[in-house]
Amino acid sequence: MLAAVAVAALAAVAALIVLQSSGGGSAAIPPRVATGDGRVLGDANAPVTVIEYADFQCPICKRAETSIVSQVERDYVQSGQVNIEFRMFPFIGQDSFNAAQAAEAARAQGKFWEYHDALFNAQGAENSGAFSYEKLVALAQKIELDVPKFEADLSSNAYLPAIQQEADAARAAGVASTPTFFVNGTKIVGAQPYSQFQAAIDAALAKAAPQ
Amino acid sequence: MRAQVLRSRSPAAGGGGRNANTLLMTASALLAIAGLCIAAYLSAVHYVDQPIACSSIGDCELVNSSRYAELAGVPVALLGAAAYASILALVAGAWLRRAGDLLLAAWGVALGGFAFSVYLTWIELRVLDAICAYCVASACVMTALFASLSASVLRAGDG
Repeated sequence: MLAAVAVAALAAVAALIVLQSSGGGSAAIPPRVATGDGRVLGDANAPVTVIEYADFQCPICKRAETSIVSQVERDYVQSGQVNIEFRMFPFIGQDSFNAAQAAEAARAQGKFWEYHDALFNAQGAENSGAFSYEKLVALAQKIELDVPKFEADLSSNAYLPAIQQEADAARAAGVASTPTFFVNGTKIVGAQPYSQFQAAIDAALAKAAPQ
Repeated sequence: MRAQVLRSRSPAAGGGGRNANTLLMTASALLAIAGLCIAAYLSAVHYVDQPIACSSIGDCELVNSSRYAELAGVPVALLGAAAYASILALVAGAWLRRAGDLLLAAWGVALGGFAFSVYLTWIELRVLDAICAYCVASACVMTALFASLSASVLRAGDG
């Protein structure tokens, strides 16, 4: 009897581990409906700005892209009410810093959001080498960047100090995990239900509206 | 069969064995309550817009932002809370009803919890290279709970 219970318990745990190992691959990021300039998606003069701090290795950030950012884009960015600004908060490991630098190299070629989406769609297990130099170059080829320039930018580590400064400033502003959002200054930590974002955005729009 | 063994250790049984059983069952219940508190806190911060209160000890935020913090969309902490709650209920039932089958079920859940804690600790150390103090505390509680329930089951078996 004892052995049977032990076998059943361990089999259940093995099933959970298999389920967890095979999970994490949330849906791909849907095609963008708004256009972006640099790291800002939408009208730069929109009355409300949603700042998103994320790490390209963070699976919850990827889920937030599909469940929150895409919806905000469709419901508010397209109409010019809101813009979304992406900020780097690489903290999971070396792959996070590699991906952040590559995204900046893509921004230098005017394709930040294309590369941003490619990175999240190529996400693997943490610190598994999913964002190795070779894989980042392959992603650059895929979205038709100027690959020699991309490689030169990436290998120079030119963007690293600015990325590090951005992350330090975020920490000083109270960011401790990803994703963290600020809706015109109102902080939302994590991939909270979309209704929470709607409420914060609607409140910010009401506040920004002329009296 | 085990239910009968436990019944033989019920109030009419010898004082030493009864005291040891009481001690082990009490320890198991207290450990399950401690584990439930930790897991419930981690589950709450997962859903509520609050950072984890341990930034200076380890890398809780990193661990809880990782893919290993969820299982099929359910926070792992919530699964832990469910495991501790079921152990607590089973231990209480086993003690109050002198039911050996409930004790065995509690031991089975604790074994599963212990094995899963070993896996998660390995993930923290080898994959994430980060440690969350709450996760370590929960793993220690689950290990102690498994040891305590193992002792209870073995004592029942010896009877």
